[in-house]
Amino acid sequence: MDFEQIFQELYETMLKSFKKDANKVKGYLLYVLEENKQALAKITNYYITGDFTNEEYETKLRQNMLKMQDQMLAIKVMKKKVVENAVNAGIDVVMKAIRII
Amino acid sequence: MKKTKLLLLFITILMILSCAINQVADYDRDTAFTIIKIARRVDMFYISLSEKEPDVRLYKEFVSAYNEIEIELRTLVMRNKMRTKNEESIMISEHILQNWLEFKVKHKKDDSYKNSLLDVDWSTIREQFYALAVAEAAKQ
Repeated sequence: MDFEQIFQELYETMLKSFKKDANKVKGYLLYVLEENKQALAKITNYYITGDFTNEEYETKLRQNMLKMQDQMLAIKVMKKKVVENAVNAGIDVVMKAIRII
Repeated sequence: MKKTKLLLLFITILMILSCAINQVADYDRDTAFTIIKIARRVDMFYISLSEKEPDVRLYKEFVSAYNEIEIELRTLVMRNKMRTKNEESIMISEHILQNWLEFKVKHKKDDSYKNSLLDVDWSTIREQFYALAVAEAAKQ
């Protein structure tokens, strides 16, 4: 039984799983940043041009913050799943090693 | 040396197994479908609203659509609450309902709907539905 090999396989499997899922999180995170930049610019522009009253401007900013919070919550779920998938991949490697022992 | 390695392996197994808990609710296909269905209804609502001139976007003409969508959103919140380890999706669906009700109250108060408000409200709620769909899809 080569323990070095088991640890190496464990490390590589978990890292591979983590990298694959982390790319999905990164993709959505970049989208969220760009989307919010545009949304805030739009709200501010409507305020500057007089389309929005003070009250409307404040309300729209608050509602946009709620939306941003939702986007962060979605990222939180993705992040939890990344860890879960990496751990499960690691467990598979360890369980396979145990069966061999 | 061999004993040390075995002990290390044992500790690793214990550490991994202790982490091996489901951190999020299982993926629910029906919920994913429901999110898309309600988002589609909201899109239809804003399309029909945008086809009219701002001053004739009277609240009474849209009240039944507001109420129907509100009922569907309340059902979605309840559906999410019925699932364990689902705090994030519960919160997102509650926020969608909150914004929807605020849009409704504003429309009722003004009895019209400015193009600027329509533009911002539509994109805000669309992104909230997208966040909810992304969260659900991540559970697969």
